[in-house]
Amino acid sequence: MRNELMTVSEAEKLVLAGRVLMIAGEETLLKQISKGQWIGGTIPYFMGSDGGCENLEHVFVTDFTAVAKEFSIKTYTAANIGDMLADRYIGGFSYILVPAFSDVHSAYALKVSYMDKLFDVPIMGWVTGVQLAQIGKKTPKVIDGSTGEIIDNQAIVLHIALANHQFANIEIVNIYEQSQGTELTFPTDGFTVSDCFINGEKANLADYLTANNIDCSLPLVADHGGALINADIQTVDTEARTVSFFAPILSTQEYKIAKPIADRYAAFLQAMPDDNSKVICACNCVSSYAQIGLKGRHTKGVTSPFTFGEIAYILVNETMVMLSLHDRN
Amino acid sequence: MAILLDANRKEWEELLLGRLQVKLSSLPLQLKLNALRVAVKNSKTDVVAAAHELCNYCNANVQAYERDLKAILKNFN
Repeated sequence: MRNELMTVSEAEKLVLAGRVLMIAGEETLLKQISKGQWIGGTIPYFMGSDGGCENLEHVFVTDFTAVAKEFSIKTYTAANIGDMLADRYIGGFSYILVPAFSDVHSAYALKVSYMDKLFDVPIMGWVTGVQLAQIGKKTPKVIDGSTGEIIDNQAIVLHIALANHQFANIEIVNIYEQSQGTELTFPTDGFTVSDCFINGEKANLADYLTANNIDCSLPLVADHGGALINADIQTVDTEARTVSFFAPILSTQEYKIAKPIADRYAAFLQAMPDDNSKVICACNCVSSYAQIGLKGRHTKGVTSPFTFGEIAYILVNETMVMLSLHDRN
Repeated sequence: MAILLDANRKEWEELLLGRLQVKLSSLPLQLKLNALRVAVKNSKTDVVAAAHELCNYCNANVQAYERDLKAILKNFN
């Protein structure tokens, strides 16, 4: 599988050749690419063959042509995002791109997470973003390559049907574990919280984080049936007494602050599987790029965009998501 | 011939209720289990129906979850 940084003209050649592609890059670059069988998302951070980098001159391309027996490209609003579950191919997988800070971002995280059929067909993807210095100045986008439409308030999905002898599997790499300490629960779901329960006692999360000098580079971690799922702290507003996150806090889960890690890069390499030969695409978190220190470093040969949130069925943070293909017995 | 898991085995309910402590390795099965535990806890479904749903989910993905099924069901081959 092709997962690599390339020039716009190289990507253009693949599009014009009718390849089925996911293209990630700066908005100005994606706008230059012709209509075709592709979906795109804005982001300028990548793990390329030369290591982690911020790159405003190249686009990152994943070529699904070899594995796509059939495919469809569809967009979804916040109101109908749940419909994407029924549009998936049984025996296939779906690759979703969602603009950060949009209504459909919230809707996917808060509504789709609770839908019955969510886990029936693999869904991976990521939340599109902008240069960190441009947050609040430019909106993250997705691009429907089939129409050329550039969108900041809808998700785009590449639904792929696999050959009958194959199935897809999603796995995650998360270096964080729950600490032994305080248990945090919340009365409502949301990306921004104020009230919480600390070991069952009503409290305010912003007050707690501030009073206890909690390292806010550490995510909150919930245990989902053995899968450790992070919510990355975006900001602590001590005046408004609110804490905002890059992933939703769910009232149904019990959270703990992550255990501190002395060497996050060493922990990441240790957590990565040794055999990535069946991985066909991946994404990783821009917070991991910063917190783990992945600039110029490698992730055991897996190349991918660094994103504003990763989707492994549900929205996760500070997590590497990998989709692999396997032969049926 | 495809293996068909038995939804009436007690391990499904025990797993849902946390009485059977098994460290699962498959992400979708972990997330499905969590979703069903939440649904039972919030009375959106009962544990018997959830056990059947969990078993049916595994039946549709036996090969993918083989390692976890060996841990859940003692005589799974």
